[in-house]
Amino acid sequence: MPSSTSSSEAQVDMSKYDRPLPGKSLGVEAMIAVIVAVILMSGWEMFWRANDAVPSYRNSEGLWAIQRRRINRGEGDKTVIVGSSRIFFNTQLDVWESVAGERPIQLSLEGTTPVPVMEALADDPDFTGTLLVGVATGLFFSNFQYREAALQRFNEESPAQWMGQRISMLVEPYLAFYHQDYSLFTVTKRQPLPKRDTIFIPSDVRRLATYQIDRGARLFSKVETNEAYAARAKEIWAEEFVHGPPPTEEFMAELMASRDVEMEKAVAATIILRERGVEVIFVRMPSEGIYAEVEPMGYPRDENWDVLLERTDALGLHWEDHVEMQGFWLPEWSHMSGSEADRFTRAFYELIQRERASRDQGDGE
Amino acid sequence: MLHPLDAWLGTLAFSGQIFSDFAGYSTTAIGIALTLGFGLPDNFRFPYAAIGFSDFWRRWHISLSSWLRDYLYVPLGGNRKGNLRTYANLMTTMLLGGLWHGASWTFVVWGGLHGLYLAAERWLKARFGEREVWNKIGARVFLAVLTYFLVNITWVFFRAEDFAMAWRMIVTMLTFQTDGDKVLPTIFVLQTVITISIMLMVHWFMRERQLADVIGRQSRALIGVVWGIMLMLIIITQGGSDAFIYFQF
Repeated sequence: MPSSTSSSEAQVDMSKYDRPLPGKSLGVEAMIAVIVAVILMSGWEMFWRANDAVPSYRNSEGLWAIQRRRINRGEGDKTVIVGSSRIFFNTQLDVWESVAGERPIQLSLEGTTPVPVMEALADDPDFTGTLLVGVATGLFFSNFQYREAALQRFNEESPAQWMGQRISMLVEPYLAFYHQDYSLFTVTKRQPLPKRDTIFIPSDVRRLATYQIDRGARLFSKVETNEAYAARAKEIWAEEFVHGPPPTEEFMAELMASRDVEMEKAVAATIILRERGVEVIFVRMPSEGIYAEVEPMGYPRDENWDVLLERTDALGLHWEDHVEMQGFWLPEWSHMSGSEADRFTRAFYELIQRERASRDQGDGE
Repeated sequence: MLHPLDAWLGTLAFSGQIFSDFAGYSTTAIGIALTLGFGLPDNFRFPYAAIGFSDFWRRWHISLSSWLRDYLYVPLGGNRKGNLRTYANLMTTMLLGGLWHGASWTFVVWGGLHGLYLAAERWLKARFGEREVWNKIGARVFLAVLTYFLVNITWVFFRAEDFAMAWRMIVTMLTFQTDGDKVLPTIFVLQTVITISIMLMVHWFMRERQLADVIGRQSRALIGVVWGIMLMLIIITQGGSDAFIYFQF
């Protein structure tokens, strides 16, 4: 604040509001700018396409919110899929639709526990269909929510965000560079520079999937075709376990406390859903490599998965129990390749029908 | 505890972020108003080239500083009632200016520091301000850098979630204890150093100039190409839709 102000300045100087309208027209400059930007963007687009990038809808919060709203707009009796990336990428909506005659609503969120979505659906009387819940134990029981913003977006989407999503969706299927993995700062961040940091900073996960307009996801073809890319994906998965700080006793105690809380939430939500007639099916997708080593140690099956099924009395499909869920190629230990996911979805759907029938038969007896 | 370089770079980066965020959306508002035929005054005039704190507040958040001056400082008596009252009025005005940002003691300290800076500047100017040396370019650059340094100290309190965090940052920044954690990867160090250096050079170059005048003197082709490059950079950074920092105030 100017301290040299004198009392004569007590009168507000209104002349400062007299900004003259610019006399110069800038139309030519604007046209040049658009031409320059289009030329530069074309070069950027060609560069990424030459590096195996493909156009796809973006797995945005806005797209999730659109799918979530379908439940409240007359499609609440459909099959809804929640979970994290494994059930997201492994379940192919096109194949499911071809065998079931109905396309599920895909609400899975990568790196995110489905428990909050289950709770929201339990509180939503419009949802009366079938709920397929992917259980990746490290996420499901830890309340880790990498994509928490999607739920907030559904609850609080502003008109500007709604409009922005629509405009974005007009160009998403045509621009290969329009993906977070190719944004300028993501690219600069992964350049090999001398390391100076002394703490563990996990690498950003590279692009792993492509998406349809209704969030049908498929493993990104480069993960299948480019060995170095798949190897890098594995390195990133392993980083936390290999380079991360060893878990302290305090951390483990917090993890177990969180596990108990999440178990209670999941059980409560399932009971409400089942009382409303919603069929809840828990699914444990296959994994390999470091996940196959670490996950059973962190969350032993008998203390977690088995307890969840026992307490909810819901149908559960664990890949270890069913040959139909085994033997698929997971290029980066965690997700199936596209063609394998097609094969899996067909077998998985048939398995669900058989298990349902056998359960009904058991109930009848 | 952080490594001092990380603490300093974090603070410098915030100084750039809050300026770009706030000055950017102020300029957007001015532009939208112009399209509707309204002329709004400047809200920022390259504040990080300020020489001293009176100068800083003529360049930073001008709508607020003008309001504080017209409706608080002057009605309190301004500089008309003796030196002691002037210092008290400066402190009162800036403390309330801090509170305007939110009911938090960290904002009060932010305002209090600016009040202290203004009072100290006034006191020093009265004793040493007439000396010829202050007109030399070296002295002016020194005072501009000193002003920016002291503004950055206030940003720590503005940004910190609580006093404990602010104090840890200040201690780290001023004591240069090098045994703290280095949390910034090399790329963030480079980005911050390059961006803040460019920002400070632009502020210094534009210190006595108006943006509209500078643009008005350039060729149409140059303006178009620079705009095109800026548009391209905005698009390929694919920024998120985070709300402006100042929307909360």
